Amino acid sequence: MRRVDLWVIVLTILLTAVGMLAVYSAGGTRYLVRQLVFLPVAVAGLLAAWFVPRRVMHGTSIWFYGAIVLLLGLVLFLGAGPGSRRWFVLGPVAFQPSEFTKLAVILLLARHLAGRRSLELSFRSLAVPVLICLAPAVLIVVEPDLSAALTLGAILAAMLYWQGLRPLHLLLLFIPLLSFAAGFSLWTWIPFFVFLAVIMLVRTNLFKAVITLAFSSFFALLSPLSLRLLRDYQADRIRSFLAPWFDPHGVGWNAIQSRIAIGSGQLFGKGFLCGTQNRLGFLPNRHTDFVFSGLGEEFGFIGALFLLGLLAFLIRRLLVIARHERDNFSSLLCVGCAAVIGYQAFINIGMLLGIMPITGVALPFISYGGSSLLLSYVLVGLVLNVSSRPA
Amino acid sequence: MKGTSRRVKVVVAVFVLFWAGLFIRAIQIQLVRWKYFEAEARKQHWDRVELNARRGRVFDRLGRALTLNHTSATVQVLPQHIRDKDAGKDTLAAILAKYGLGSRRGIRSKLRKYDHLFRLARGVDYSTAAELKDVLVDRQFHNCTLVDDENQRIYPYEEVCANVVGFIGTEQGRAGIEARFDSVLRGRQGSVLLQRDAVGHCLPYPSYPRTEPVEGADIRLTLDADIQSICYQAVKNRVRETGAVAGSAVVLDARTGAVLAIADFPSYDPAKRRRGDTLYFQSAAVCDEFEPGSSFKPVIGLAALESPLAGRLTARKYDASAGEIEVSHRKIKDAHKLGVMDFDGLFVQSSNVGCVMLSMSVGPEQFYLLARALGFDNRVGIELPGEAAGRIDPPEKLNRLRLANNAFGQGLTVTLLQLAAAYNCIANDGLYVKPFLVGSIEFRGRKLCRSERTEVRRAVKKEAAQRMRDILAKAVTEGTGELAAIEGVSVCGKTGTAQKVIPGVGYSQTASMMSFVGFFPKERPRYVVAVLLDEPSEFRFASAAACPVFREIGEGLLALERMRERRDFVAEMAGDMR
Repeated sequence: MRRVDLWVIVLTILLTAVGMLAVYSAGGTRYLVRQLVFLPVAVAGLLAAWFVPRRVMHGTSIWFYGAIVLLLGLVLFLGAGPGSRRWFVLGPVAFQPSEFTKLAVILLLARHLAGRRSLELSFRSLAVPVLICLAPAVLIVVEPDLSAALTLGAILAAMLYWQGLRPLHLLLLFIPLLSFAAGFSLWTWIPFFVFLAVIMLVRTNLFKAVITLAFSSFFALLSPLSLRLLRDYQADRIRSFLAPWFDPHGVGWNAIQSRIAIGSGQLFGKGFLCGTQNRLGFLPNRHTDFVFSGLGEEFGFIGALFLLGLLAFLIRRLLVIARHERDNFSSLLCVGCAAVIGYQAFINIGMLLGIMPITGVALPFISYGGSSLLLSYVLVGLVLNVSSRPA
Repeated sequence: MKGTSRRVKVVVAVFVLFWAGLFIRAIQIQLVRWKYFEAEARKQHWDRVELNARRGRVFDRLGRALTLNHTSATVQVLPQHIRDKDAGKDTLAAILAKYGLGSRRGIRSKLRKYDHLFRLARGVDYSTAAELKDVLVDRQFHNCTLVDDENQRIYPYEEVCANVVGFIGTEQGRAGIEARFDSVLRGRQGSVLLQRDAVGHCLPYPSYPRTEPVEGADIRLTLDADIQSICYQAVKNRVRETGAVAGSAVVLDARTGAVLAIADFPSYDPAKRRRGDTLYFQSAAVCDEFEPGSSFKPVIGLAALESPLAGRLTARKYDASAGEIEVSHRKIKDAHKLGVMDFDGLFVQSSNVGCVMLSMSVGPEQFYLLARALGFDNRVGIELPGEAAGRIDPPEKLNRLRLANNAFGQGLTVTLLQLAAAYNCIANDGLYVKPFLVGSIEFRGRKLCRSERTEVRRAVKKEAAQRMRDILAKAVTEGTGELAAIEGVSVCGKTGTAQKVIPGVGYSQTASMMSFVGFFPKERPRYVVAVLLDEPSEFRFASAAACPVFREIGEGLLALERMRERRDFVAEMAGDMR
């Protein structure tokens, strides 16, 4: 048995502590107590992920994946939630299968990709990995929970790259998704199109470039059309990201409130429990998705910097572990975990700072919520598992 | 694995790029633009509530309120913002009906009918409104229901005192004393900073920063509400009887120069102002100039009495039997052929021709200086906005014809208040006493300042003033002012009938200003009364039109005096018996 990576444990404890403070400030004793009740469950999850034999993990990943996809199908019929069907409610416990889809996808992708020698942009090479992501993603989009589905895309991209897919091919693989996202506004579409054209002309030939651009344009044109088909709140969120100040009491309200809270925190913050925007209820969902805004207000730039630093350090540790791991499966697992934590943290903090659209992404370790905390801990447990024991 | 280290570098680079984005953005928001966001945050949770200062009141000289304050509330509803539409509207209607703002059904139908902001009720009792506000916040209706305090000013004397007291428009005095002493009456507004949560609940906070309002100072005028009412009624009635356009009356206390009444008709109701009322926002007696006519003649008389030639001028006879006199090729006429008169007769009979003769001997300098000494061609300095100064040409501009005209009160303008002040000077044996309207300004029971009788200057010698007083008494007993005589008291006074100037045309043949200015009792004058009627159509001369108003006011003053004496006497007796 190798040495346990103490840094990962210390960082997890620190992040959890910050999360508890933030949840208490935003949600009061009620939510803190609940979060504290979740904690032992999360720790149990971490220990289980840590000490489960690699062989068992490898062997059961396909069953775990199957079970999760089944649950995702069931939640569409049995689930509950405001305006969407995302939750299983079992008495006092609510459970969000989409959180654990991330775990299942990481495990199965790692198992599948670990056996591959090289990857290239071909149907044979990429059909299975893409399908592993796409199947649960479609079910999650139907819930609807677009942001959770996009997390799966981030996992896929990270793990494919790590396994050796060329960046150009990765770009081409994600062209439908990227074009669609960029197509909502000319301000994003034109730079993306130019970027794509330059890359393609430099790296390939004119013929391929034209084909690719036509392909991209097709998906880009779908987005304005889909805006009408999107549910109102989703279309509003995209519009509110493009012009948040246009309608301060309507859809952009959340984005503005977040920035006001963070901005008014200044360098040192207003002090723990003294954030007016946070405590007086001006922040929406302040103990879940907007928890960072409360932190930014009460602890200021220093506090925000501290949290960003903790997250960055943790992700760096995960990447270091991934790099030194001899075993391909283990290495891919670590990258998947780093991708989930890094992507969610960036999207969450980015949306609160106003550089990303408002989407319902939780901040790992910090946001209130049992499923989110449990997932974060299990991911850490997986990393500890691969780092502390030889294959 | 091949190229792993390069791959790691790329991954780290991408990651660093993302984190740098967050970092830079955090710097921008928290360290660069924080001021803006802090202000926005403060705007949201700090609520500055203005505390209105009680506006100072205006009293008459006996402490009767000419203005009152009343705080009531207005309730406005914005049905658009009611949550869960119909159920919410029913609940809100029930709440509002409970506080007596209408029937439940009526309010409900209004809430359903309108979508925009509308006023549901006005003049809601202050304490009811305060309770209602709390209930609305508790029940989450405060966003769609606005309860605003409204400070109302009530003017108990309505149009009688409106010309003097004025009114307040939006938070500011717009006319009269209200405008002139706005800064004194206004007081200083206070405020409280309240911290509210997103729902609008006020948070308990040990000590909210609070600045107490400072109430305005009270103003006590020298005006007597009873006398003001008497004058207003007298002028109003006479204007109606004579078919005049307008009328004014001024009463001064001859002993102190205090203004007891300034009445103007038409007037306006300060509470219910209408469009055409702007014409009457200023007191005509103070702010309008007119050519006085014969009531100005005492000035040339006094000038003659003051001149070195006084002895000769008072002794000689004046032959006006032609009924006219030629000055610079222009004929000046009397109303009737008056024959040969002595000095007193010029004023008793009100001879234009005689006064012209007098003016030729007196000369422009003497005349102008005396007019100035009596307060003409200069603002009286009364405490009302927009006072007019009147105009008399300076001596270097007074050629023979102008001087001749000025001698009988044409070709110059005065205000009614100036005339009253000038007659007051005669009543005070030649001392010019400055008229004043504001008796004192009081703040929290302490007098901040107080006006008193101010003798500005000796305008004429005592003997000259007494001689003129005799002449004016004779003008009432024997001359044109006979109708102004009051039973039981000797009145001094002079009528004036002046042709009106029609701008751009010249003197009107039909329209005239009729005035009577006088004082009584002759021996120890107590009241100076000036009356003016603008264009009475029924009468040709002031003797018939204006004198009865003077008499009515005079009789009213005396009756009031007697009544008050009796009341004081009874009160004294009662006090003695106790």
